Amino acid sequence: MALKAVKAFALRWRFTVTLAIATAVAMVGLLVVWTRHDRLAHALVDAAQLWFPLALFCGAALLLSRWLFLDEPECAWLGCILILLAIYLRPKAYMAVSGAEGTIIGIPDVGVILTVLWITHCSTRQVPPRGWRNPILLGIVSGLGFSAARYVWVSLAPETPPAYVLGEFAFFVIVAIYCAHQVVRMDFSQPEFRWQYAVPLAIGLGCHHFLPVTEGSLGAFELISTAVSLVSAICLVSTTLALLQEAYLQHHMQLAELGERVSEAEVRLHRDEELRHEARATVAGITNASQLLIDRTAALEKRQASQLRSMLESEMVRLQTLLAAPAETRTEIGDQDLDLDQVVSGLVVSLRAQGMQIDHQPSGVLVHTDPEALTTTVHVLLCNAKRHAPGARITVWTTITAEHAVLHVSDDGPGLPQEVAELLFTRGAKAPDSPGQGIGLYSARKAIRAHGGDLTTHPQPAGTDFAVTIPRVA
Amino acid sequence: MPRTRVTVIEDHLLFAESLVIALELEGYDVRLMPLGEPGRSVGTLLPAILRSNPRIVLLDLDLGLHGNGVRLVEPLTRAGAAVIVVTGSVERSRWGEAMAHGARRVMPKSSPLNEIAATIRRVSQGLPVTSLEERTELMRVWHAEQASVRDARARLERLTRRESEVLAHFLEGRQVREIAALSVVSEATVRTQAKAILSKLGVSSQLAAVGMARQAGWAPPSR
Repeated sequence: MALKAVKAFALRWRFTVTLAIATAVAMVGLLVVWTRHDRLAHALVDAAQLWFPLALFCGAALLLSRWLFLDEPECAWLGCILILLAIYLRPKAYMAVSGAEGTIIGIPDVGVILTVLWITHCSTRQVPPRGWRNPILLGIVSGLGFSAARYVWVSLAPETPPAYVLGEFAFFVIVAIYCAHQVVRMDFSQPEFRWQYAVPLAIGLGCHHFLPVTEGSLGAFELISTAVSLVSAICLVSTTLALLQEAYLQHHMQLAELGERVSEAEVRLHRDEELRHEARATVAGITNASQLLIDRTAALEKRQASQLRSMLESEMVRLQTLLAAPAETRTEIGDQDLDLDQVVSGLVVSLRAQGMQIDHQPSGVLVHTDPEALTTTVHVLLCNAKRHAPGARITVWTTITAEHAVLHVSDDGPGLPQEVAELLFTRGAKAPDSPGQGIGLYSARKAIRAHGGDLTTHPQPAGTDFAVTIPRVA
Repeated sequence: MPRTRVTVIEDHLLFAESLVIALELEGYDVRLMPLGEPGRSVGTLLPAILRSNPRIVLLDLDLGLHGNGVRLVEPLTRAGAAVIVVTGSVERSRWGEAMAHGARRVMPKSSPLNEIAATIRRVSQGLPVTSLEERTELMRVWHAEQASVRDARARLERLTRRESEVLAHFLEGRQVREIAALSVVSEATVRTQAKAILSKLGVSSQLAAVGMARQAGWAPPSR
């Protein structure tokens, strides 16, 4: 149990642990160097002076790249802080800084701390870094501005009471802790990364102030500062690099997903194109046939006219089913959940438009079957009623059993002769005067049976009644 | 004077039937060519069509499962029939192809019946029905299309067997994950193959690769 807890702790804080070990090793290394080679120790301290601001620059560049990738305002503002600090804490050892300028603490420092506080505030508020608040510009301008102010301050060389120095240092510590806390509370990336970013940066900045500037003997305190600031500089760069890498991965995955969606859309577009082609051809036929029926009725033979009419009807149904089902479901024919009322009312409306009297009683039932089979069946029944019981009133209503919905299509017409009723569902059966091809009911029953339903009829005292049994949604 | 014989080759029955009726009313001797069982290729229709000895043939380019009607244009023209293509296709290159093979005119299916009748009348009187500019333009579109298709085919032939399979999956709209699962390989493998496909086809996206395969009428080699 305890081992598990230790393991979990080590996993979660492995970075911090590694960091502590690295700092310890660096310190021991420095101590060894210090006791044996004084010159080398000085060189290392100089290197720390140089590397810390450079690491800040590097971190700023990486953070700003992440900002450009993901458009996270927090990263832009954090990058801005790093630029400001990097310019203000420029590599003193290489830039002819007088000793006094390095150690003196004054008003410009307070200004920098306040600016950092303000930018952190912008960052937590997610102020958009646009217009005059361009983070790169702001960082560079404020960095140079405060450097100039410090130069002026040093040249004036005012007396600084020790109490003031102590107060300012306390102020710095409080602000550093506050800012680190704010960064950890932000919501970009993962909390571990925010910890790894904020804490080493705050500690490193603190230690950087104690780096010795003047040539002189090195104490243990200076060495510890050097080691800590070196390690935290490395840590800062590696964390910002990880942040950028994360942004890149995120982007890459978004791109891959988009690509997949585009290719899906392309496939769907292709299917739609095929569908449109088919629909165009069907509509052309319908247009021509109805044109003939309307303009040339007199010239048409009766047989031709009725043939055209029945073909028109079946083409209409085909067009309807073609356009009703969305492209995906048509290609992968399969059962799905359907609103029965929706399927029926579409057909009812179109047949009402052709002059049929249909009374549709909605049921609110969800059924599970193939949309095309269901549409075809209902359409065949409605058209049959229209053909065999002209002028009759048709009623469409639904009863519900435990597992099925039963859709009835009944009319108050002449009804079916017994001998026809028996043969109704065999292929080619039709009344002698029927203009249909006699395959409607046969194929409708076949289709609906293939999808878990059934089509039956029962003798009625008056009129006819067909019942479509469809599986209900459980 | 004997009536001009017109043969209609069309898989949309209603369209065909109304054409037949309309043209009969105009006084033509119209035959509707039965297409037979689906799956019979258009080539097998040719003897039957020629037997009816038509003066004018109204031809649809998309004959459903029977294939592409454009293959009939040239033999029919050579046999002395005037071919008028009435198509639902809106691809200008296909129109150009029909023209190049000798069709007298290509009309969209949305043309009104009397325009089709008027065209047939002009053809039977031996008058031109397509202006030279239109014919040249359509054929230019077709030649341009042909050149790019040839190029695409040449590139597609460079694919290995495995890459062809992956491309076929893409054509079906499958994603890398599904393909990997179907072929029992890792996603990384499929991604590598996809990259190889893209570089061989000289395109920058899967989308473009699929488009290219479609345009070239490419089908994966059978295993």
